[in-house]
Amino acid sequence: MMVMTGTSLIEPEKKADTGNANEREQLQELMCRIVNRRDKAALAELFRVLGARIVAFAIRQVGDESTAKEVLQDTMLAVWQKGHSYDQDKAQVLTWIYTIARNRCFDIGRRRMSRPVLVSADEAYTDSLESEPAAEMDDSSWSEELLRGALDGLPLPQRQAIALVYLKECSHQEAAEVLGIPIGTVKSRVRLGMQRLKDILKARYHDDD
Amino acid sequence: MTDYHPSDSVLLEFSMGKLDDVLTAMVGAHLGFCHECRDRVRQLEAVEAAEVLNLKQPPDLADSFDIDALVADLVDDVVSQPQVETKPATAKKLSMNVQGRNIEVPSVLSGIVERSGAWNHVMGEVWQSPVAKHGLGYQIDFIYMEAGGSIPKHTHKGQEITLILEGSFKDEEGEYFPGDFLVRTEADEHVPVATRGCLCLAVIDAPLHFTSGVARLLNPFSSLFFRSEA
Repeated sequence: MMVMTGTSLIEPEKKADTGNANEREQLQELMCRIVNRRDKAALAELFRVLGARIVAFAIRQVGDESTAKEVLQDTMLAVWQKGHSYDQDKAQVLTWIYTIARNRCFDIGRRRMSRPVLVSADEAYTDSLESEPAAEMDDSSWSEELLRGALDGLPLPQRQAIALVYLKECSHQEAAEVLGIPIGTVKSRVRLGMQRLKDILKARYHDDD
Repeated sequence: MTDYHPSDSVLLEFSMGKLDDVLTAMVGAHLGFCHECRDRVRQLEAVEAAEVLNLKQPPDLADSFDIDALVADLVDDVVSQPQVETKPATAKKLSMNVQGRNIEVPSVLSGIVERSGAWNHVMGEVWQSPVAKHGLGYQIDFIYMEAGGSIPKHTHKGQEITLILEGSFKDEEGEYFPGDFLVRTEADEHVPVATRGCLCLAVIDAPLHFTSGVARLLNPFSSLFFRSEA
């Protein structure tokens, strides 16, 4: 059949060479402008940089230039409309955009086959859903001092996000602009931070018993 | 956490979008069980992204291809499209009715489950639900073995890929639990025995070949276990 069971094609230690820091920063900044400021010029700039490579990749995957252009258009649309879900803690901009283009090629490629489609890219490539942490706590149990002590135990990015959203009462959008990161990253830092905060408080509460 | 994983080359093909539908769904289902492979796929996607979108290399396109004009053309259209509201993702539940029980299975298998037929009694405590109308050149079955049920010693004339969905079974090589992804080839001779009621999805590309005792009498009929669509 089609499965190889032999040795790895890629060394386990091999890490992605995802370009130099300047390139990464440039792509990151364009994403922030797209998501936080709805900056059309940034969208155009991002795809002037990446577009030809996406078209070349799509031609290899789906076989013809006009379909490849459709893949490019869909990828641009997804970046414009779903950029708020991009989470820089999970993947670099380049990787996120690659997965969008790959998924479009996967679905469009199957649409053109004569056999039934058994799975869509969204179903196959969506990570299993992470459970949302329970955010509720019994307010009366925690003093402000205890809470601030627990906050100090969080990594800086999570502490910053929680401070802006919960202590300064910023919206996720405002926090994204202040920190210069996509809104999806703010949300995930708040979520992970709240989960960790809960664990810290639980541990301290039980220590006091 | 699972102990038996797709090989790195399979995960690489998955991350490139190159596997066929059934293997894509099986690997996708395995990832739902396995953090380790999810992390590996993320790593491989980053490797692929760096390769495919390598800014240091000129794109593999004709010199006449004018990306600036194309992007300028597309960008107005893209930003003027009505925003598609995406609902927050919720875990979809999918289950199969097996011997009067509802067993939950990963939702990525929905396209395969909906093509699965009635459960047939194969032998002893073993039942089979063949998957039809998939258009691929091999046989796909859901297999259910009640606790203690077994399949006589056999090899495979090709490859068999098995994804454990519920329960457990063991053979000479080890014991397997939900999420485990097993690849067996012609070199592997085994007797699977269910240690708990066990639901699996099995893909084979050639008939089983029974190698022990009276079960060898089944060999002329082993194609009953194998009906290729292609």
